[in-house]
Amino acid sequence: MIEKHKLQGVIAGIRRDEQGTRAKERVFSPRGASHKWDIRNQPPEFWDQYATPHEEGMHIRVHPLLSWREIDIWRYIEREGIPLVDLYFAKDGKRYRSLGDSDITSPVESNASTVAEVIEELETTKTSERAGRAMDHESEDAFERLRVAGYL
Amino acid sequence: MPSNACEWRAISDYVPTGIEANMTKNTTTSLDAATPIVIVGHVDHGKSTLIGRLLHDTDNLQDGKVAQIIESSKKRGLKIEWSFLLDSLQIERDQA
Repeated sequence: MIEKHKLQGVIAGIRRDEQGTRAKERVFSPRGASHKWDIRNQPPEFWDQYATPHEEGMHIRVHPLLSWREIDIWRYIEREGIPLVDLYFAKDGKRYRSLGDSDITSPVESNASTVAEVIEELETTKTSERAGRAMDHESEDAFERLRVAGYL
Repeated sequence: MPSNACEWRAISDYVPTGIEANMTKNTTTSLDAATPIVIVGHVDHGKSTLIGRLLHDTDNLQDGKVAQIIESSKKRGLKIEWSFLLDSLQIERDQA
């Protein structure tokens, strides 16, 4: 789609606290012609100053929520009254904390069935947000390889 | 706001000021009392190792995280490399 519409920028909702590889991202992340992420050559972003280079064939991934945490998202949902799918709320002691393809995503143990209860749970939980995402746990660098190849 | 060259912009230029102010107020409650710490040191002299160990000793790691880095350390012939808590990329770990 990026190629078809010649998009120069794509906004994505990834956050640093989700996963170690995403923690290495930039707010404005340049992607080369084949959408590859060049981890070794990322622009510095001191004092919230962002580089927006533009060359033929490249695009920039913009990650405005990079510094938010999972609990920030839920507090925002609560404050704005944002509706969401009920998979995030506990049913029979389980809920989804993160949603991916149905065959590689499993629910985590939880009794949080309202936004307020989810926030309360997140204030103390030690379980990783992506514990139920099988693709992260295949091998040490599984997620890194996906992201370098262009996975959002 | 300092004047910037056109290709450099602060994120506040992109976010409506009202929203940004409210978000900061409502989403950083637990950070209000945080003390910023800066770790400075020569390359390969233990900055990440120190921070990793601090995260562990202050009980700020998620379940299974230590087991994960022990496994990654063993793979590289090391007992436990605390810096792997921060150095999540292969290029960072392989130089340990």
